[in-house]
Amino acid sequence: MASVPHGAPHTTPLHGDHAHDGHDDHHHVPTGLMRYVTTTNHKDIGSMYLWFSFAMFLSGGIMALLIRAELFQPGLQILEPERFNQLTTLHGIVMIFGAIMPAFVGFANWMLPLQLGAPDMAFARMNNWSFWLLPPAAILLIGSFFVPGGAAAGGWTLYPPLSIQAGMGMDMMIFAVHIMGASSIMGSINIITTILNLRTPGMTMMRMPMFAWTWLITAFLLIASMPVLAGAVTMLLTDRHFGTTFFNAAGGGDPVMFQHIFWFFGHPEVYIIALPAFGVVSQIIPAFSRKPLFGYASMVYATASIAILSFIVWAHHMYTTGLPMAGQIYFMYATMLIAVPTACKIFNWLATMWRGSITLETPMLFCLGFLFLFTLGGFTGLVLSLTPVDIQLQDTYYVVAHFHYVMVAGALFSAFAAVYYWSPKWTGWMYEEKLGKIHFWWSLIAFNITFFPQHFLGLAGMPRRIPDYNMQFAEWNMVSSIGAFLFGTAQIFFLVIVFRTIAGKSGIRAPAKPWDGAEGLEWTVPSPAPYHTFETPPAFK
Amino acid sequence: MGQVVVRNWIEQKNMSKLSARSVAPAFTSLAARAGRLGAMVALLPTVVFADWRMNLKPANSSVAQQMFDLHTLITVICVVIFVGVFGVMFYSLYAHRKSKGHKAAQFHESATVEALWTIIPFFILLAMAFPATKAILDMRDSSAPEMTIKVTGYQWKWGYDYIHDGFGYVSTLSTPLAQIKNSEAKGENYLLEVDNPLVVPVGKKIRLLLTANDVIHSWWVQALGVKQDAVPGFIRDAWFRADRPGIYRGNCAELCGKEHGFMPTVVEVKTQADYDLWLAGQKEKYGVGKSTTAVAAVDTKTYTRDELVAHGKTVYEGLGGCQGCHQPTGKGVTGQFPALDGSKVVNGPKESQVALLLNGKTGTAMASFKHLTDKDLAGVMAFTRSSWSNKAAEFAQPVDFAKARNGGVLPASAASASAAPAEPAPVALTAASAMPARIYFATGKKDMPGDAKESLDAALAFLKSKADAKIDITGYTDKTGDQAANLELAKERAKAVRAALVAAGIAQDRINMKPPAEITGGGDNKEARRVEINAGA
Repeated sequence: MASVPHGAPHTTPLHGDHAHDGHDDHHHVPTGLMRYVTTTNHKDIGSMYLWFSFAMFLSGGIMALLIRAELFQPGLQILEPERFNQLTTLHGIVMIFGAIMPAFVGFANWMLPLQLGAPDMAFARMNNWSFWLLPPAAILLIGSFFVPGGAAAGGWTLYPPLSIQAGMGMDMMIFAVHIMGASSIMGSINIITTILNLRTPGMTMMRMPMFAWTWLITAFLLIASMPVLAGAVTMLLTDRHFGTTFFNAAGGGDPVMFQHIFWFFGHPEVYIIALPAFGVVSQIIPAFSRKPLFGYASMVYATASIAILSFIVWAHHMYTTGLPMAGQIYFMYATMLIAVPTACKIFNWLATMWRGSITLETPMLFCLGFLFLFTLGGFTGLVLSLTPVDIQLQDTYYVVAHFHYVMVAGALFSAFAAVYYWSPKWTGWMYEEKLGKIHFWWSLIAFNITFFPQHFLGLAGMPRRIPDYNMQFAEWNMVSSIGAFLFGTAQIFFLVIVFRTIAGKSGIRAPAKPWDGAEGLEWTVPSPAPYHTFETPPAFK
Repeated sequence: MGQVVVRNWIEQKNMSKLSARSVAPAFTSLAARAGRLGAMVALLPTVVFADWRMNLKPANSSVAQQMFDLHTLITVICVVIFVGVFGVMFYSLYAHRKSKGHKAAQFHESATVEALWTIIPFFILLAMAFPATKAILDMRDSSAPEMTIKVTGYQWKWGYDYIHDGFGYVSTLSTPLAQIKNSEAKGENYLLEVDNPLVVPVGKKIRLLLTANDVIHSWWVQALGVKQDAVPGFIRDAWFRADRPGIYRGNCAELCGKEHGFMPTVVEVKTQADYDLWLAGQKEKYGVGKSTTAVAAVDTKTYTRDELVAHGKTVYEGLGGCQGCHQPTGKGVTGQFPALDGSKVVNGPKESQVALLLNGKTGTAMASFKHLTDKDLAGVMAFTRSSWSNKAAEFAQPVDFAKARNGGVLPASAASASAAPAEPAPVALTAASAMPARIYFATGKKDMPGDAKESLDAALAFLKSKADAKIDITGYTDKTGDQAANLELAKERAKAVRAALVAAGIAQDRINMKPPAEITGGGDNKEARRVEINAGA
């Protein structure tokens, strides 16, 4: 079925540049660092995205642990309030823009050409540029801790006028957001073009893998929403330095207008993070249930409906800002509607498992963990969609718990599932199943110890983004902090698993198709995938 | 999850005793039944985890009660669905496993099933939307308030203005720094206590008008069901009607900078009688209704520089003090808060620093600090002018601030006090014997009352003192009776006073009949049934 890849099947990536690759390497074969600086290979770029994302995940994680260490008990212990605010702000930005989004772009880079039967991404050089924009952005973000005045401290939402008061750390953040936005937009253009144009003959749109579908829709979301964010932060910048008053009532502006613009980006952003995760889950659950996805077409339609709805619900983040009553009612109804396509997806995954032949390898476990936690996060989202309830819960730890259930369970757990599922294809080795399972249970339990009590804290009235709190919140905060450190160490353990897998510690070489229930062209090439694949389009049944 | 629900049920049960109002009557009975079951199940955790709070605080207003009930309702629905869906999933994981030899069926696509699982959630959502919409309609109906208070968010304190009673004050965290820095045991209301809480009467519809001075803040008291952002440059409104007296605590709920976590919102709900007493005390304290000359004595003492520096240091470094922004080092925070060390204002002429402290600087975090005493402000000024590398020769005395507050001249009371300190303060004239003079009528009557002579004499004395002096006469009534009759009555009363003055020999053209802005301006008491005689223009 698959075409035989050109070149030696056991070519290791380090020596993967062949003479026929000479369209950009006409002098010599780059080695060492220059290979990665100049590469246009989707697999190299995918790996760089994944490593970058993991590095950012650890940086953001260290920030989270500093936050949780301060909140371990009441009183100020290790952090000054201003530093605390810097950490909560940067934790959010680094995790969203540095960890989660690049991780899924990394999966897209690695897997989309393999899944679609394409030789590479459509715009290979732009692909290189979209990745190499990210490290400077990361340096700006992390470096801002060390400039006078410290990092931005107005929350990842950057609300003015607070963000207008801030020091130069805020300007660095604004520039970083611009760069990361440009990177995302280029990545999206690349993904859309690849999916629309480079599918192997016979692979119609409605026969694409779900991961390609969810990424296609996500890429459109990104192109539609990132420029909005760029506009918002640019207006902040001119308000800060060039005398404009977009967000200052004294000059005819309105601080709340920023929130409208921000969340017009911000809500689609939530689905930018969640949809590729849905795609991963929609591929792994059928593989380990040995049964096709229950409703392929309805999954595609549900994904598209979620994407469209995500543009008309933004002000549910703003119920307490003083929206008109009609606005509160409209945004409540629209938000509640999102539960319908989301429920369709959950039911679809359940129906896929129903009467399957299920095995519980690590990728499947992480998908089940995803289902369980994401559904919980979805329900708390429904609770928050009701304006009168949200009035009590807005800006409390309930919201913190809610979006960590959605983001960590939705994105991170499915990212782990994807790594375990596709790592045999990347490394040529099977990971160690026992360690993978330990990683899953450790993460699942620690995650719930960390975040479940935060629902109680929010209900009891603890606001978010505070470095110190009343004694009535002491117990659950202590539990939550303990959970956070357990969760953090679990991810160090994950790094160990990854290194051991690359080093072949399991001793099991991965066959071309390690999962008997898996479907797709990616399993037709050898493991590890050769440096160049599908130079002629493969046949698609 | 189970425990939250159980606690919800228990509190729901308790709450239904406290308040008969409920969003969904059908649900209340369900919850009550569930509550009995839950109480048994939850007995152990409740005893063991006495302080591990898990639910919303008990509501103290009808709106908060609706929020509470709505949250309970939707949480129960969600838990039921969750258990159902994951029951199916876990059954499937158990029964349809390859290790148990289960062979995979290959079915997929079913329009009927997919239509069903789209339509059913939709109807469940409709059932939730109904009570939620009802609660929104209630929550946003701030019409016909019985009292209005303006709330202003500052970094990092709340200002409360009783706009109809003519006074206002600032409410700041009162937890000692030593507790925050862990060198002292923390009190029960750690970080949730303030020097001056917002005080309101029980059972009255209180409307809040919210704005902010610098950045966005959010005024939140959970038990009263109010969380409303205070946006600089705009006015938002919110309302509540407290069901029971007591002290209710919350925090600022919108990140507002460094001390966001140290900005509690505390409301003290008093019975009407206690509130009236408090109100009278506040009016006394802030000199409401007295002429400005009668306001508290001005500190005219001349202090030495050292005295002021020592006092200023305590203010600068105290709670909510200047060091919060400008730092103990006086270096400020680059780009955010200007350095005082080497500052042009601090080392420049004293007038500009006095003005800055009193008025703040628009568009920056520098708020007005005129709620501090003259001595505090003079102290801060002397301290900043003598600390770090600053060595400004000039400094200000408290009396300089008093002058600046009074348009550059010494307030009259201080002038007389300093001119003749041995003499007692000027005897305040009673309201009835001086201009403006007031004559109080009996309910519904337009005849001159017996005690009107003193007020008439005051008016006559005024008119006779200057040949070209004129007066305005304005009649008022209380709220009793219908509006048309009151209009007539107010006019008749004013005419009766004019007749008395004309009878005493005053030419009618020196008397101007001035209609009132509002006939029933003063409520329902003796004060309302008056005729006012003011010096005319």
